[in-house]
Amino acid sequence: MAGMKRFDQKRGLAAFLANLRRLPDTLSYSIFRHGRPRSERGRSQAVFSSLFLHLHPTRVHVRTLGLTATFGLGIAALSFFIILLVTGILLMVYYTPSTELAYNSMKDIHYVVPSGRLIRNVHRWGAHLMVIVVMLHMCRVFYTASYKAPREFNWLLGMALFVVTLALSFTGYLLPWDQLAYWAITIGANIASSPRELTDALGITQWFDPGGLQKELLLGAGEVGQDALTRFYLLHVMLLPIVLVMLASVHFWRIRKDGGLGRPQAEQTSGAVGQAPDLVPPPGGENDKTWSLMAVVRDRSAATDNEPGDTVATWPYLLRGELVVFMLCTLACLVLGVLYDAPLKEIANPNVPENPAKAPWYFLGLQEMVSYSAFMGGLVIPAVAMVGLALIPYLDREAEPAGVYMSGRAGRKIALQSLAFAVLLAVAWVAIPVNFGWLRNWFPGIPQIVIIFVNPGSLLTLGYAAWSLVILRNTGSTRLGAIALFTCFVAGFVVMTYVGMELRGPNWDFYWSRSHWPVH
Amino acid sequence: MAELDPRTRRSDRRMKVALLVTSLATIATLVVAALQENRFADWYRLRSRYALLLNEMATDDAGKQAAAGFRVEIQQNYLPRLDVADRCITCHAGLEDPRMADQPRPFAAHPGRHVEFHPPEKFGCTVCHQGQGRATETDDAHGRVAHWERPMLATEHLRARCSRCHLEPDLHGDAGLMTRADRGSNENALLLSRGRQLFNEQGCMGCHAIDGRGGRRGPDLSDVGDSVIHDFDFSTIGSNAPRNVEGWLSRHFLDPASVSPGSVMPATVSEAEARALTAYMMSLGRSGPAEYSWAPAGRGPATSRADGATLYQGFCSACHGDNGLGGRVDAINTPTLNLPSALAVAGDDFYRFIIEKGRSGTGMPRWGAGHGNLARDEIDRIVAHLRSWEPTGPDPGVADSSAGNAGNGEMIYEARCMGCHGWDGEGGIGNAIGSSGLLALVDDTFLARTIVSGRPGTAMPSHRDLEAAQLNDLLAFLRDWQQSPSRLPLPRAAPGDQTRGRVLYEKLCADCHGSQGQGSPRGSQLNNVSLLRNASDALLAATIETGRAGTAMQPLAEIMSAVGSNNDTPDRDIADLVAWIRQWEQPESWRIHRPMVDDSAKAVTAGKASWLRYCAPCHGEKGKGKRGGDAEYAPAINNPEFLQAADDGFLLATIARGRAGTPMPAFGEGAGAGVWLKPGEILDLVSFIRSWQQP
Repeated sequence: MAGMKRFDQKRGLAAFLANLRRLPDTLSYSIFRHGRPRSERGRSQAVFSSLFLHLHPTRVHVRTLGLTATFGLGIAALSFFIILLVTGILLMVYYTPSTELAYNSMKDIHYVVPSGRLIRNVHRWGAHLMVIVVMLHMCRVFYTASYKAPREFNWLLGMALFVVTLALSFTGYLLPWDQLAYWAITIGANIASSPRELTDALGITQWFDPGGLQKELLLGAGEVGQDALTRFYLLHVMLLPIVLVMLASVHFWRIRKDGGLGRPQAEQTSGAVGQAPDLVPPPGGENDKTWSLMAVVRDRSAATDNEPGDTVATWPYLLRGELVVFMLCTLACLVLGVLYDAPLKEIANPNVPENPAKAPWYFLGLQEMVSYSAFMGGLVIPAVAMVGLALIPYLDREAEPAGVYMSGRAGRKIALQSLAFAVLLAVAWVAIPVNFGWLRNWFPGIPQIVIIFVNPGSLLTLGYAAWSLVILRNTGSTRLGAIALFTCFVAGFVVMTYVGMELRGPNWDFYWSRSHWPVH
Repeated sequence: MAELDPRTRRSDRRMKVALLVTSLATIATLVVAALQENRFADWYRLRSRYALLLNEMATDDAGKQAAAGFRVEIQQNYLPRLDVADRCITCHAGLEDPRMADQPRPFAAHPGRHVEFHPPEKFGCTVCHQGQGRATETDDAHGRVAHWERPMLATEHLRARCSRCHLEPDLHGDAGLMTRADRGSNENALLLSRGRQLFNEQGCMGCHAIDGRGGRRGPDLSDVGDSVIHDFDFSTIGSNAPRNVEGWLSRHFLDPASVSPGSVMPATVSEAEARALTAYMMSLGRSGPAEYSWAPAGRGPATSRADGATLYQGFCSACHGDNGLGGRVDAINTPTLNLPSALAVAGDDFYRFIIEKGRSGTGMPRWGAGHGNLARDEIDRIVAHLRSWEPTGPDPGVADSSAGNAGNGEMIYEARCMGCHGWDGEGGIGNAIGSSGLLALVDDTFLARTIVSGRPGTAMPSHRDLEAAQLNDLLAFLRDWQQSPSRLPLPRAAPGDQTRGRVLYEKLCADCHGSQGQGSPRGSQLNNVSLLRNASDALLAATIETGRAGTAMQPLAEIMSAVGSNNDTPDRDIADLVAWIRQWEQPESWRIHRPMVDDSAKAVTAGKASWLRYCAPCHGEKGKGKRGGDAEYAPAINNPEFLQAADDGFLLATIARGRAGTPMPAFGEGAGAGVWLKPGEILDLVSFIRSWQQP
C-alpha cells in the first residue's frame, strides 16, 4: 500500500462543508462564467458574457436612459410579448382548438380554471397593448430619424415584426370561437379576397382568382370553420411566435451592431457605412480575451465613440430601467385584466351574422377603405403604405442628427401642418360620401371599375402623396417630405380606424354614437 | 459610481423608486385578483353560507358528518351525452336535501318530486331550466346577461321542455305524485296541450312544417323551441317588450303582420291563446338522446291515426276555412271547397291528385311525400271529409219511374242533362241515354244510382241535390224513349275464367275500349269503378251479347265474325269477358283518366276561338286566371297539376254545367242563360285547354 495516497478524514469533511457553503457561488459561476459582479467591471463582464444580456453593450450612452429618448417602447413591446408568451402557454393548457369544444373551454377558463379569467384577460389586453406599443415604437423610430443609415435594415426588420405582431393578434382573435371572433375573421378573410373586386369587374375571376386563393389559403376552406381554426391555432401558438422570436433577435442584435440608440452626437464619430470604425479598447482592458476579437470585427460599438463620461454601465442602470418598463407593462395588463373582462360573445353561429361585423380594431381603417372599394382598400392602399414605409430609409438618405424629434423646428412645423391637412382631408373624404353619396348614387349606371379606382380611399391616398410631394419640392428636403408622408398616413390611419370603430353601425352606416344604432 | 453626474444619479434614484412602486402595485393587484376570484366570488360566498346552514341543521350524526364533509368548492354535473356541464349545484347545494324544503333560494330543495325522477347527476339542470350551466356567478348562471342566448325559462314554459322527452299526455301528472308546486305546473301542462290543440284548430300546418309534415309557406317550426333571440327581429315588438324568445313569439301570435312585416299569417288568436301557442312552440325542438327519451317517434300534432276532419283542420283550414267556406289566409284567392256544384263534377281522384301534387302558380302547395308529407291514406281521409259536405241525395233503391211525371222530368232533363246527352238523348258528350236497347236492359235503380252518384272519371256529375220526386220524374221522362218492354238480363251462373277472358278482350274489345279498359273516343271507359259497381254481371253480359243499338257497340257474334273467330261457345266467352272486365272493379284510386277529346289541330283551333270569346274574359287568354277580390277570382287552369288532375270529364262537365255558387256560368245547351254551346264546341274547348298540357 505504499503508493496509496492517504486522506485526512477531517480535512475531507471540512472540504465538503466548504464546498457546500460555496455551492451558490460555484453554481452561479458555472452558469454565468463569472463570480458575483460586485464592481463596475464585474458587471460589464457579466453583461458581456451572458447570452441574453450581451445583446446590450456593457456600457450605454447616458442618453439612452432618458425617458423621451425612446419612451421605452421597444422594451415595452418585448415585455408584452413575454407576458403574452407566459399567459399564452398557460391558456394552451386548457384551450382546445375544436369548433365543438373551443367555446366551452373558454367558458371553463373564465369560470373555473384557477386564475383562468385573469390570465385570459391579461392575454387579451396585453395583445391589444402590444399592437399599440409596436405602432408607437414605429412612430418614435421614424420621428427620431432612427431609420437612417446604417439602420435601414433594422427598420425593415421592425416592419416585419409589426406585420407578425398583427398576424399574431389576428390569428388569436379567432380562437375563442364566439360571434365576435367568427365574424371578425370572416371580415378579415373577405378583405384578403378583395382582389376579386377587380377580377370580377374585369370578368376574369373564373380563370384568375388571386383573391379567392388568398382567402382559401387563409381559411383552408370557403368559410370560417374547423380548418380555419386549426391553422389559426397552429400559426398563433407555434409558427408566428417562432418567427417573431427569430426576427426580434436579429432586430436586437442589429440595434447593437448599428451603434445602439441613435443620438445626435453619433454622426460626428461614426463614419459612412462600411467604413472601418476607430479601434478603441473596450472597457474590459488590455488583458480581456475578447479584445482581439472586438478589434477585428468591422463594426461599431455603442461604447466606442464616446468619452467614458457620457456612458453609464448597462448593469445596473439600463437593466433597471428596462425592468421598470416591464413592471409597468405587467401592471397595466393586470389592472386592465382585473377591471375589465375580455369579451366573449355568443358561440359562433354562421347563420346569424353580426351586424355590423367588424374586423379587429387595427384593421378597421382598412375595413373603412374596403367599404369604398375592396380592391383598393384591401390590397392596393395597404400595399402602397407598406412599400412606402419600407422605402423611406432608402429614399431619404439625408444625413440628419438622429435622435432629434422631427429633426428640429422645421420638421415639427411640417409635421403639424401635415397632421392638420391629413385629418381634414380624411374627415372630408368620410363626410362627403356619408352626406352626399358617391359615384354610384350620382351615376347609377357607372361601371364598377371606375368606382374601384375613384373612391374616397384612393383619393385620400393620392391626396397624401401629393401633399408630401409638394412639401418635398418646397423644402427641398427628402426628410421633410418623408415626415409629411408618414404623418399623413399615421393621421389617416387613426381617423379611419376611429371612424370604423366608433362611427360605423349596422350595414356600415354612419352613426354619431352607438346609442343611435337601431334596436335589433 | 463616482463617474455618475448628479443628474444621472437623480434619474437612477427615480428609477429605483419606480421599480419599487410598480412592483408593489403589481403585487397589490395580484392580491386583489386573488381575493376577487377566491373570496368575493358569488359561488364562494353562497357555498360558505350553505356550510354554516348545514352546521346549524345538523341534529343527528349523519347530518353532522355531512356538514363536516361539506367543502367550499365548485361542484358540477358533467354529462357529455347531453352536452351539459352544470355547476348549478355549487350554489343550489340543497337541491336534493328534503331538510332544505323551506329554505330560501338558492339553498331550497327542488319543489315537487322532479329531482327524485330526474337526479341532477344524470340530467343536469339546464336540460330543463336552460341558463348557463358553466357559469359560477349568479347572473351569468341564470343566463340573464348579454351574450348568453338561452336565459332560464319562466315556470310557465318549463313543461315545454318536458315534452322533449315525454309524450304530452304524460305531462299532466299523476295526482298521487303531485305536490302543490306540481299542480301549478300541471296548469302549464294544460296550457301546452291547449297550444297543441290550437295549432291544429288554426290550421297552422297549412303553412308551417313540423318534423317534415306541413306547408313550406311559413318558417319550419320543428326546432323553434331551440331558437335564440338572434333568430328574431326584436325591433318590431317595441322596446318595452321582453327580449326573449317566448316574449317575441307571444307578441307575434297577437299581431303577426306587424311583428313580422310581410307575413300573411292572420291575427286570429286571443291573448290567452297566444300564450298557449307560445307554450307549444317552446316544446318543439331537438329531442333528448334516445336513452333519455320516453316518447316514441312522430310527435307531430296530427299523426296518421287522425281522422279526416282533424287532418283537414290542421292542414287545410287556414286557407280553405273550417267548413270549406273560405279561410283566414288569402281567402279571396282560395277556391271554396264546400261547394256542391264542384263536388258534383270533381271525382275523388281529382282531389287526391291536387292534394298530393299541389297547384303550381297558386297558393296550393304539394302535400305528397317529400313535400307536405301527408301519407296517401291520410289524403284519402281528407277527401272523404270533403265528400261529407255533399248532400246524400235520394235513395236510388226506391226510385220508380212509374211514379214520376214525364212532363216535369223533361224540364229537369233540359236543365241538367241535355247539354251532354243531346236533345233526343242521342248523346254527344255523354252516352246515348236515349238508346232504347240500353233502357230495356237496365232497371230504374241502375239509372237512379248513376244519376245520383254520377260516374267519376267521366263527364257524368252527381246529382245529389235532386229530390226523390224529381228523380222519379226524370226517370219517367227517360223511360219515354224506351220502345220495347224491359227485359232485364237474367243472372248467369257459370263463373268465367279471367285468363281466357283477357285473351278474348284483347282480341275483341281492346281496339275501342283500350287495352286497360280506359276507353277511347270510339268506346266507353270500362275500368270505371263506379260503372262496374253499378252494373251487374248480367247487365254486362247482356250488353256484350246484344250490343247497344244506336252506338258502335255490336253484338258479340258480329264482332267475332268480323275478326274471323269461331263462335262456338258464346256463353263461356261472355262469362270469361265479364270476369276479366270485373277485375277492374277494385277500390283503386290514383287512376289515370282516359282522354275524351281529340287533340287534332282542327279541334284545338276551333276550341281556341271559343275560348277567346267565352272564357278568356275571366280566365285570361292563356288560362292564368285572375286573382283579387270582388268576386273577380277565376282559378288558374293552365297549371300542369290541374290539367293532370282534372280529367276531360271534369272539364266537360264544368263547362256544360257551370259552377253554381261561383261566377262560372253553364254553357251547355238548355242550361243556364245566355250562351249555349253545342257538345262539339265544348269538346273542342277542352281540346284547346288540353293543348296547354305538356306531354
